[in-house]
Amino acid sequence: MMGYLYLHLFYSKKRTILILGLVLWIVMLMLLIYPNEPVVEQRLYQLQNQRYYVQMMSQLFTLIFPFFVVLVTMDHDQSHLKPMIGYFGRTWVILHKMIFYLIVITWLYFMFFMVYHILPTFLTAYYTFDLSLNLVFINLYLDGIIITLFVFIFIRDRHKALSVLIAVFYVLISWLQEDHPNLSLFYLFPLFSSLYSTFTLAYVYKVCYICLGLSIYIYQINFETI
Amino acid sequence: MPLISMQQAGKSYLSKTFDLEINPSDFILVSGENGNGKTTLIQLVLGFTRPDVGTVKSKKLKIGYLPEKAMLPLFVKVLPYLETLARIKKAKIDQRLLLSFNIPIFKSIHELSKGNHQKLAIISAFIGKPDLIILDEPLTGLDAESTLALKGYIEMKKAEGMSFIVSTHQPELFMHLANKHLKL
Repeated sequence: MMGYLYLHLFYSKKRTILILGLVLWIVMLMLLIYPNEPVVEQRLYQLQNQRYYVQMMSQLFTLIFPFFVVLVTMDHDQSHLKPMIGYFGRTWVILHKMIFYLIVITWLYFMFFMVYHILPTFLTAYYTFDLSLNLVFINLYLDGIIITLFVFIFIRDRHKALSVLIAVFYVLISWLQEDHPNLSLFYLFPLFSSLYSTFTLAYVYKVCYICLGLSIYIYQINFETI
Repeated sequence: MPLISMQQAGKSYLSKTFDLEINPSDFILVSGENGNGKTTLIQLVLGFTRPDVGTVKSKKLKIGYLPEKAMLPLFVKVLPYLETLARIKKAKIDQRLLLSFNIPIFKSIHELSKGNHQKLAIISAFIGKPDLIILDEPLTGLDAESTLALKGYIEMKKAEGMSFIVSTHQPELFMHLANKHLKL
């Protein structure tokens, strides 16, 4: 089933678009990261440079990552899965679909993660690997799963273009949380926020939020008319 | 023990209800005017929709389904599509149907004509070891030669003991195979 979903999702043109998007993204980052300062100065202001890099990247990732996630997941509801549901049953198809998209999101996340660490290692003299930087990535990964669930629950094939609105909504909420942190809004949409996402309980809350979304989707798909 | 049994099953938007028992090796022909509930009956059998009234009891079945409008992944090439389908259903592609339909297997599905779309969807429905085959308007877009090839293939599968539900506007073609005929 995974092979079938892969065949449908990564057909040659879409694969090209996705790879081109990633390459463009890497080139853009290289231009942004490449420092004009001499190596001595980069090392002298290492802490400031690194902090600037981390903050810039967390903002950029929250802006770009949801669009990549939406690009990948928007085709999840396809009519050609109907004959497969007839043969294998709803639960089997849905389970495989969810595992497949989880693998794809994880792969996408690792691409971003590697770019985040590898590019500055080669291009700058100030960058040092620090595990605490990965907090952004844990949040980003959980956010990717939340966006995927939103797309699964709200987007159907008839109006799949609307899935872009979910990415736009994510970006707007992130910006709003940065400028005017609001705890109630975070409870409603626990997306990445540089304030609330530092709390350990925020991760637990996010995981619970994902489990709730998953339950809603499984309930919805089992009772909906196909 | 029937494969599927329906008792007074119906939808709120349909004025009639269905009483139907599908047994192994049955060939059920469904015909009738447009809007009389042929596709709804098929959807109820498949479990794609739940009845608003009555009950549908079904065993856990593998159903080969040909929708009224062929549903295929458009940007995939025909051969990889069929191979992948055969692999996940742990079966082989039946060469007889593939050869008699003569589909260009190296083309992308979106490049195929409407008739070839239909042929590919028919081949897909037969891949695997389905307990029941449901064909909703299987003759749509097929030329005379392909219609005869399909008819011959269905006759062969019926002789092997496969169960069928065929919904069509040309029931006379399958009348000799049918042991139940639902005129809606």
